[in-house]
Amino acid sequence: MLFNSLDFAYFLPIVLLLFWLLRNTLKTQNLLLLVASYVFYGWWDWRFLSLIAISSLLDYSIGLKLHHSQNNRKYWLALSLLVNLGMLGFFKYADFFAQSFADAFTLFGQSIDVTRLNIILPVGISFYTFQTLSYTLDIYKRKLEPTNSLISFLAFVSFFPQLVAGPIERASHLLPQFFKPKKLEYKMVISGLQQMLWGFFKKMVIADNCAIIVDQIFSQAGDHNGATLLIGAVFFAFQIYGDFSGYSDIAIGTAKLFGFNLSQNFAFPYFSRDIAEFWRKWHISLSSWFKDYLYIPIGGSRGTKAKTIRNIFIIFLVSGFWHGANWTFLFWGLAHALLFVPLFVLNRNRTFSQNNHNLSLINIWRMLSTFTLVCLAWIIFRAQDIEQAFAIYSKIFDFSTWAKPALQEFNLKIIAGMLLFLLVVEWNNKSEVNPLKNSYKMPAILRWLFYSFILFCISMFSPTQELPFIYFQF
Amino acid sequence: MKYLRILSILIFIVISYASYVVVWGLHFPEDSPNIVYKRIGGSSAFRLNELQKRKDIDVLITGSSHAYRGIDSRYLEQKGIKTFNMGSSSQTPIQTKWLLKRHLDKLNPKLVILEVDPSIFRSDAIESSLDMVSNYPKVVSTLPLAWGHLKTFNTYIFSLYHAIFKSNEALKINWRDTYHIGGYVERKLSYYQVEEFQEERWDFNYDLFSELEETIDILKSKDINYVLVQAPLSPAFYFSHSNNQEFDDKINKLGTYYNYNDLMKWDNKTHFYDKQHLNTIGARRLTAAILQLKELP
Repeated sequence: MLFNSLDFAYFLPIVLLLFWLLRNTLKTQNLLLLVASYVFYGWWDWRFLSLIAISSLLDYSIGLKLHHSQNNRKYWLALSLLVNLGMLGFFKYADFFAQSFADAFTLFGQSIDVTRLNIILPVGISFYTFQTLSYTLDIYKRKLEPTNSLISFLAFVSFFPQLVAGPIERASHLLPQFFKPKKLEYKMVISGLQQMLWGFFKKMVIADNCAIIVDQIFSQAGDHNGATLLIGAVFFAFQIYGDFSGYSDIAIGTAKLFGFNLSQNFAFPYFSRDIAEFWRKWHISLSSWFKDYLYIPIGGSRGTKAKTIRNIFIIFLVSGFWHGANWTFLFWGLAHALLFVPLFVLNRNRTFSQNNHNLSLINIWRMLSTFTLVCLAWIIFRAQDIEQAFAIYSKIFDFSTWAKPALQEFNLKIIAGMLLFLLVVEWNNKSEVNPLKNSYKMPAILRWLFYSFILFCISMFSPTQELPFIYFQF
Repeated sequence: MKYLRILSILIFIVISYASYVVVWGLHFPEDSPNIVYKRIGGSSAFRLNELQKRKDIDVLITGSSHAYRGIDSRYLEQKGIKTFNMGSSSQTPIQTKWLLKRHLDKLNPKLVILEVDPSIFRSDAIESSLDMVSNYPKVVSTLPLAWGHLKTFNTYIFSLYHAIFKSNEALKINWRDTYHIGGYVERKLSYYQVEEFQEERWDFNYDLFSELEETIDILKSKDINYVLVQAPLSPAFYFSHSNNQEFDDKINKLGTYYNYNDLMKWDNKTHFYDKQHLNTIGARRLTAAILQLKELP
């Protein structure tokens, strides 16, 4: 089920109503959330529910084993890793590895036939696999006690607001909330609705409109000049941001309606002043997952500078590869590692962290240059393959081919206006977690006019077909 | 007190939202992608206005532009058969059902000709709902057609505004068309410049077949006779589709069915003005064939 579908518009109020009618019975509430989450997920393809169920049941049992056994703990953890990463590897990477294997042979003049399995990627597998893995890993490290409530654990793994595209929640943060009695609080509901509203705006107005332009440019990249391709990259930057952070906002807002707090996943990353700051603000839940469960275990920054640089490359490459089975994602990760390492070497990777900067010339320059680098890296991410990415770069950097961008078919006035609106609103809220928090400073009438204006923008300027979220494919 | 506050906020949002839609739609019509208010140029406003006044007819024709451009109600009237052509732009069984529910009792037809067309059965039914929302005289009642889609919903609000403030421009029809009492629209005679088509399949929206069944159930419940008719498409276009038989099989199950693509020979250039529509020569020919139907009262 898509958030931006009519199905969800009916589904959410029904589940909410039932949830709050059951407010005095926590166990029944959790059971309801579990059933609702499985319905939500099964709407795509009910067959893949078995994967979530297997993964959850296994980790629930292993969690208990890890806690109670003194000896075989490593083996239990290995089993959890093997099954979870095995399923992820099979569904996400099997075809890729088979094809890459065959391609490698052709380099040596040999050709082998590889039967592609054409496996369908279950929606959200990368997200819930990491979520459930964090549970066993934390119990293994004795940072977390296992739960005895199977229903709550199953509901935690499959919690529908964030099931298919995050934020990837840690068991230590989300699981205890399933044991806390819920109270319907006006402020929390309003805050949730605000965040959902802004999320829908980002997804349906920003991302979906940019997608039309981006798809046209990237599908015929060879026909466009350098200026048009660069514009395509900028629009893709907004598309992916609107799409993914929009999803996160809707997820966080929806969770608030049920009395749950999810982690912040984006902290206005395009206002970053260097790449290091960008990575502290982009897809925070994934970055911190990799930091805690990969970067630190392999040594983090505890060893020599050379070892730390190696670890930085590892985490960026793995992070890129997490996005999908394509060399483009690996190269995207590599590009960001190459942009990040100089900052680390110069000891400038922690220069900026707070979102309290003003619009001074130096800050504008820093933000623009960081955004440009991010946009250039997005080209590899969006390209169909590495060849296309390099063909695009060669056109962009060959200024002699530049000409007036050919984008007449689209109403650029509206899209430009909406992008400006997005930037102004987010700039004014950049130090907040809730992207519309500062609207409270407006007089009530203006505030509600502002909300209904956003609602109007969503209904007037969004393309009318339901476009799926980009990150569902990851 | 809190509930009162929430209610007042909701009312405020609804009013301000509607105001934004109307103000924006009036001042920036070219930049309003999700308002499709089409009254000028089409024929639906004329037809739907006439529909309000008609009663006790012999033959009712429903369907898309293939129906109102292909079956000339005047010829049936000349034979003493009181006829009304209730077709509208890309009308799908959803809108047919909606119109029948409102007007069937008053029209009280002896025979209903349900025009069916594979090109319509692949539609998402939005275009016809927009046509209805923009042109149906009692706008308020079109809410069920407007609900569930941003374009139709915004157009509904816009249309409601025009209805309340009576601010519509005078109705004009496309200069090449003439609307005739009875619902037929005559296109100034022109001939189709035939194109080449790649072979393809109709990609059906299967929900529309269920809607058609429900429409037929309404007729059956009132003991009204009906036939299903497929008006011809240009042979170049129609026969470029490989699953025409699938459509025929589905429709055949629903009642007496006449597919004039197969029953008569048509010439791309002589009988059509574009790939989908009969010109006046073709319309006369199809109407003559309809007049031979044994089901006619």
